[in-house]
Amino acid sequence: MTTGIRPEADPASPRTQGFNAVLKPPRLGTSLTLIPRLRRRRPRHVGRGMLWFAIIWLTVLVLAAVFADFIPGLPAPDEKIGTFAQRPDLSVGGLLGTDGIGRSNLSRIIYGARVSLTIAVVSTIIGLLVGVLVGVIGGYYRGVAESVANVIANCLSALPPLLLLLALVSAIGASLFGITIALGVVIADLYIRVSKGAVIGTTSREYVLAARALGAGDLRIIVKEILPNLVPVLAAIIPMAMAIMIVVEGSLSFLGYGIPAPTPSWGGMIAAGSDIMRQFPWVIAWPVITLFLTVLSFNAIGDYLSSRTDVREAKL
Amino acid sequence: MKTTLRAIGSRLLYGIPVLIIVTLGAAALMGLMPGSPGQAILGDAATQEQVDAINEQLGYNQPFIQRYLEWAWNALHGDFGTTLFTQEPVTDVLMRRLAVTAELAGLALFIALVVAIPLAMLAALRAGKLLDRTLGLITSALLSIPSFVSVVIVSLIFVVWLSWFPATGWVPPSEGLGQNLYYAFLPALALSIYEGAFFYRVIRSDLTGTLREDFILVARAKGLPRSYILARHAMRPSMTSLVTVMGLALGRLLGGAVIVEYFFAVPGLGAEAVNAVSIKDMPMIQAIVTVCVVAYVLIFIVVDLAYAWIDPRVSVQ
Repeated sequence: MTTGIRPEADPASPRTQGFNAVLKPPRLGTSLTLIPRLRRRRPRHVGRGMLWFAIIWLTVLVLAAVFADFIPGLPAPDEKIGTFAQRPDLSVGGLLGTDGIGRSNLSRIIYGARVSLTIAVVSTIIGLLVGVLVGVIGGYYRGVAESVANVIANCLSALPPLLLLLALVSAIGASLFGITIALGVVIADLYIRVSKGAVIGTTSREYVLAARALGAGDLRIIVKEILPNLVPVLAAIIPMAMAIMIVVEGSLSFLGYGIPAPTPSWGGMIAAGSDIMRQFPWVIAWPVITLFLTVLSFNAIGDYLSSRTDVREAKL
Repeated sequence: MKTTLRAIGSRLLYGIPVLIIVTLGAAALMGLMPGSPGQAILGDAATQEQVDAINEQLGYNQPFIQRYLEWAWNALHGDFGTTLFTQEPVTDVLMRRLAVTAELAGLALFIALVVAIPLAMLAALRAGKLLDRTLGLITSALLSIPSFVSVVIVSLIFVVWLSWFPATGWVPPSEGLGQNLYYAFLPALALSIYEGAFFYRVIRSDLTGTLREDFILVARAKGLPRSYILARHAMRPSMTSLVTVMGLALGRLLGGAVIVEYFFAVPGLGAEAVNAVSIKDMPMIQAIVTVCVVAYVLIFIVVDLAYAWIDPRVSVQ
């Protein structure tokens, strides 16, 4: 059931997990710097500028979403402030123009950010709780526990996420609560795989053996020795997972299965805007740009964190 | 050969619990959904007696576990039942839909690979230079475009502004391959944007790694031209991650093209899945779920075998 490398079969390598193939196989061979044109360089995944942009954009978005009710002059998201598809003007509500039925685009984007960010954060926490629990138990005890963790992860990822999500949402109900729970379940397989791999790598380390030799119990070893090692690994994937959550929530709204109608959501705005984009392409532009910048920011932060925490690349 | 067969067998066995749990879970989820199939068929105007009668006729009044076992027994004999509304055999509908989705997935993978591989080669040769950095920036932007945005953008550019392609619709290949490709191109393009950017990243990162290895140095020292080294020496060892990622992409495209099929009105598996969930078409959902799980298991068997073929140091056990 394992796919291993013969010359240096490493039982602790997360690569040996059957058809849970890991994306990056270890590089064999030495690195020489003798070929001028092919010389290695420090990897530049994310420039400083991009990182700062991401942090500033997300901060502004979070602040706007949290304090939306206190922004002076901002109309309510379902209040009609003018005729449909107005071009931007200089009032606070009309800064980005109006949508297909005359509501303020700016206000709907800000209130939509509330929904998107809440869902992203809460579903990530749910997914983390489930995934880390299953992954740590599976990776620490190996054997049957690991097989069970594998089967759970495979069950979750064998289905297309959107299909699983649709089924879950129609069973639990298309409310903020139902969608958040469903998203947390759908993303859990990622956390199971990542935390299981990291735990397997850590458990055979000397300091864990030392702790065990000193008579520490399983719970103490897991909490004190192993969980701290998961933090950098998880920190690198959490921003990307949050980007996925925002996208998937948008997809649900786009299909019409998301947060019910009067509550604004980015996916819903894009779906509504695509109906009138032939005449008024700028109406759809605002939610598209907002969503794009948000996802880009989360990805940039994730890239930065993983380039900082990935030992393999730090060595280069 | 024998070990390979055993490896395939053990992976197939491994897929069985996944298949059972997922189909059982799908059945349980459907049971949790509000409303019954009878209600879905008859609409809101029907009386409770009428709904009960339909449910009894279709067997939905049976306990859930008994229904599941009956379904599993029939499915093992290749009978997935009939669809809820049209009462067609599910297998027929499924095959028709799967053919469409498979064509789209194949086209999308093709476009993605044709664009990603040459660009990744160029970028890997000039790692850290302007071209590499520009492409890195572009792909990270492309990876941040969700599929429901890329369909809108693709349609805005090619349908609204350029009027090159039809907005929606589908022509089966039996009615002319040219027309078929004409209608399939935009959905396939929309699907390939994300996959192409992803492939590019994976190939580029693996290639830059491979180009640092000693055997490349040897090849350079022998005086082989750079293009020859790239094509004959560097490409194959750089394909392991790509194969995994392609497997993942194929799985995603086969079942996950929901948004693209919905937007371009393509009668594929994803669109059918959304429809089946919304009308509680239990036989159809179970059949789609089964197809997805089987595809997932098969894809990863192929990926594992491909690993061993690409890199002889990897043994399949």
